[in-house]
Amino acid sequence: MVPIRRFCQTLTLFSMTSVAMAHSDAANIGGGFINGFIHPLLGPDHVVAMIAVGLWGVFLGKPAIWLLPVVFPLVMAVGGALGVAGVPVPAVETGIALSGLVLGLMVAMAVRAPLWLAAMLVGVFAIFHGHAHGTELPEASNPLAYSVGFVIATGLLHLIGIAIGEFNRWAWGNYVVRAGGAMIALAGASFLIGFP
Amino acid sequence: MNPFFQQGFWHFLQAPSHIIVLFGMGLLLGQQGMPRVRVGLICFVISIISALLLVQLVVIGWKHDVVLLGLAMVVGGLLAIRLDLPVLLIAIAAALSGFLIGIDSAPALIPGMKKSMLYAGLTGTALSTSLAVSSVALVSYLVRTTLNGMILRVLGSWVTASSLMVLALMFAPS
Repeated sequence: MVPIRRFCQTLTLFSMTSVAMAHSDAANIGGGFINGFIHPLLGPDHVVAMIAVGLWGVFLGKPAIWLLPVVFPLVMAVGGALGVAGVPVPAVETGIALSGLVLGLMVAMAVRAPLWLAAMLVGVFAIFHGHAHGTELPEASNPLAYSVGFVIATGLLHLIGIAIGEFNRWAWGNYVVRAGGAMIALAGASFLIGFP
Repeated sequence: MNPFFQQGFWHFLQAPSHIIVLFGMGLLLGQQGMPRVRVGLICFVISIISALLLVQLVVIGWKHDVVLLGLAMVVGGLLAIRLDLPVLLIAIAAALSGFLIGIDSAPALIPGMKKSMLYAGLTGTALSTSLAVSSVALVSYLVRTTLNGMILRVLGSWVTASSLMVLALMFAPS
């Protein structure tokens, strides 16, 4: 019983103290991470494009299946840096909407583009997405936690796309994946014309 | 348990730049295989202990975060390209990570603070960071060939992307 009592005493003691933090932004880490994590998830234009990247990667096979999800966050960070630095990128929202439309069409039409072209296309669109994230960074957030949050959320959306794309192994799955691509393209088109 | 030891032990969790470097370095060591894990860990432990001893003697007042994030960017990039790296490069990267984290982990000195308290904190920091990088390296070693190494490549790109974003924020015009 003594160890349990000691444990409870220690727990009570800990709950009454605060940690001395040499890093003043430490308290803000959790909030920053959550802000960053939910940011891409709250924008349907971001979500459909990220999933499309994963789906297209599966369609193109190796090495695109890993290359596209690697290229996207790297170039997105460059776009984010441009946004943070205040470097204007024209037609960001149009570029984001266009990414859903184009990438969705690539999946729907099962386009087997050369690897360099696929990487370049995904990279160009990643600039627009990154720029939007960079300019919308909340000032109160811890920057690193925010960045880690939104990069992880983006990566997980790619993984969802890859997971859905795995249906492609079966003949019927191919139709499902391509139908998914068509839906993404439709969503992209609707964002492009300003709906909703 | 000694509260100063505990404070030092959990210190790295309060510094996101430390977490990202430890994470990236651990992943890189694991990706490179067991012989390089051993070399990297030895270099890391020696350098962090040296740096923690050094912070009591001198104050190094440059921007550790910038250098740490720059290092994380490089480490993430190396993970993403997945090359067989020379042992020397791994040793330098691991030693640099340990050293930079060590000098950025100086405990707040309170007047009248006993030496034993200070050492308890430093021991906690050395132990936790070494454990963190070893654990990540072990997990990374186990998954290094899973899905043709895709997991580690993708994680590497995340490390680089996050570090780049924060570096941009640090140098951004206010």
